[in-house]
Amino acid sequence: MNVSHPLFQRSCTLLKSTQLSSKTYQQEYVFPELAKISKPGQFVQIRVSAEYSPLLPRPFSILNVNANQGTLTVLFKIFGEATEILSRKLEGETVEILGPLGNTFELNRIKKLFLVAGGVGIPPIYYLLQTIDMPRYDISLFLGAATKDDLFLREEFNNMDIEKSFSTDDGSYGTKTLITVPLEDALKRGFSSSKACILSCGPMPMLAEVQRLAQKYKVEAQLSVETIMACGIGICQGCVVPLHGNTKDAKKYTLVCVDGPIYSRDELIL
Amino acid sequence: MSDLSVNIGDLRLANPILAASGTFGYGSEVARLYDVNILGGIVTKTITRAQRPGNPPDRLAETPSGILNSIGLANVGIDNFISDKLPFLRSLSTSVIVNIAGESIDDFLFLIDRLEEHQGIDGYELNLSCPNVAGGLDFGIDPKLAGKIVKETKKRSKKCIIPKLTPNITDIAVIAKAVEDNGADAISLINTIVGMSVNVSTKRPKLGEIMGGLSGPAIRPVALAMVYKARKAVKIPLIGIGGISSVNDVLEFLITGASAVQIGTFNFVNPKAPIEILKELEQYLETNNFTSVKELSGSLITR
Ligand SMILES: Cc1cc2nc3c(=O)[nH]c(=O)nc-3n(C[C@H](O)[C@H](O)[C@H](O)COP(=O)(O)OP(=O)(O)OC[C@H]3O[C@@H](n4cnc5c(N)ncnc54)[C@H](O)[C@@H]3O)c2cc1C
Ligand SMILES: Cc1cc2nc3c(=O)[nH]c(=O)nc-3n(C[C@H](O)[C@H](O)[C@H](O)COP(=O)(O)O)c2cc1C
Ligand code: FES
Repeated sequence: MNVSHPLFQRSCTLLKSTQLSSKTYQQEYVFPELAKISKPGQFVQIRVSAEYSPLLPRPFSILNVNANQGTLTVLFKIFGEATEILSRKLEGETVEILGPLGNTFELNRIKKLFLVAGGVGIPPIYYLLQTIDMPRYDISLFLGAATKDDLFLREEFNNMDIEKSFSTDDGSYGTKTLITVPLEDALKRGFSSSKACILSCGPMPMLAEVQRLAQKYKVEAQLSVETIMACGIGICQGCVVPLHGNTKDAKKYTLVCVDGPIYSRDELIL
Repeated sequence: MSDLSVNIGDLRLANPILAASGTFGYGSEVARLYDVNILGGIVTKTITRAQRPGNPPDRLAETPSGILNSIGLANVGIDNFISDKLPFLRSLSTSVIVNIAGESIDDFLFLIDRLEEHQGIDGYELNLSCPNVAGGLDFGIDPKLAGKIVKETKKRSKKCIIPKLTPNITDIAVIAKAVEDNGADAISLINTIVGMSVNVSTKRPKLGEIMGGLSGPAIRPVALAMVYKARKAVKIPLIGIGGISSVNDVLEFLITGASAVQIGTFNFVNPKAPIEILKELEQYLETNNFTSVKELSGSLITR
């Protein structure tokens, strides 16, 4: 673990809360220390209540930061109690935020990017696209979700000058199929494998299929996983995902909060 | 300034706020956020003879005012602990208590012998909430075994030996008495309470191991009652653990008879909780004109 990696915890004021759809919110918080250093793929822990319910903070990917204004933006969907409480926060209220947490995508030597995101896995991919010099890459974006409402930021993505395909489970936006179907079509069409990489965030079944396709078409991949977390900083040992092989050091599991959330193609048993 | 120091056997802690085993890693993780030397002490994750990968996921589930965990004593093992984790702990000025567990008395003795070869350790906490492979029962529910472990470990080290008791037992006073009679310097209590939670829509247990250990504010009244029972049964110092989230909670344990406390689950809720609570404790003592925190310990009025 990299102890020198800076970490901050503070009470952050909600500057702006926007409801994107019936269950989706985008919120911008004041967090200057984090905004200066965070990287795409990293996440924060937000404690939504000072009471005991919910007790634990919840992890959210960083959607974007504004280093000049010192702000952090997250995007979330209401799942249960914590996200429900967060959605009701008013501008000017504060929450405790801890971060930046976790690792980042590695773009060294990559020219061709297949970006594959589903549902609440969309924010890290959005953040990445905000930070890279897009014309330097050949980018194909694949976004999937259950319904149109869950295809967060589709307008923003639509305005980007990159190749993209959208899909929903119910056909309410884009093609009615799993996002991994257009991904496989694209992989079949061919690419220069030494400089290509799939970057993917989303639910476990989607990541498992992306892993399978990446192995089949022999393309590198970086997969960002989600698990249940308590601490976010490596002190509870709760957030594990099983690792492939590697019996040498008896390391069967990896801690997603500090060693992840992003892993290379073959590391995890998904 | 009120005197915050407390004595646990021969060990003098700068203040009564410690970080509990399994909720503070090996110290270095939280050192990224604040100077951990401010704490009265750090208790390490339980260390075992061999490295342990721990249990299959899911290992965590939130329950009302608490969490269930089935971590399975995942730890780096004694060799890696000594080579990779101890150097950082040794560099600290705060007290370092190494928590150890084994499947036999031999395991405990092996671990103490290995650790005794090294500097930077101020005491040992014996995690008795684990099964004794030979006997089948947890060490912590058999007064003879618990007493024997304490007696044997005391022979191997001059440092503070602190058995940590499980609450999953009929009468904690019996175990408390057994470890005191065999030379324990202090007692830590309590460890987690056996618990379970089910996802109704999938009909599956929320934890991979089906059952796990409950911790957090939900268990505080149980922990407090156990400290009370142990206080009546023994004279050695008690370290109270269970759901501590605020200075008020610390005061409850001190008044009931604990000399010090450990903060566990709240490190996950707010990693700075221990130092924030310590500051409030200092203020409380000042405001209420206590010259020493020791005056509070056991000041419970029962009639
Ligand atoms: C690294 C990381 C990044 C994340 N980024 C985002 C994001 O940008 N936007 C967003 O909307 N959500 C994100 N999530 C998921 C988010 O943390 C959960 O939706 C949130 O914790 C739900 O809390 P709740 O109290 O509202 O619901 P709960 O009642 O806690 O949960 C509702 C259901 O989801 C399950 N659950 C909770 N957390 C997880 C999890 N992490 N993985 C699988 N199942 C879980 C619970 O067991 C329960 O069944 C992320 C999770 C991780 C680990
Ligand atoms: C995730 C987790 C891991 C734990 N690991 C250990 C451990 O390795 N050894 C141990 O003696 N106690 C362990 N405990 C128990 C705590 O040290 C403490 O006794 C218990 O959680 C009650 O205190 P709390 O309510 O403040 O958390 C663990 C607790 C939790 C929540
Ligand atoms: S969430 Fe606690 S170790 Fe990862």
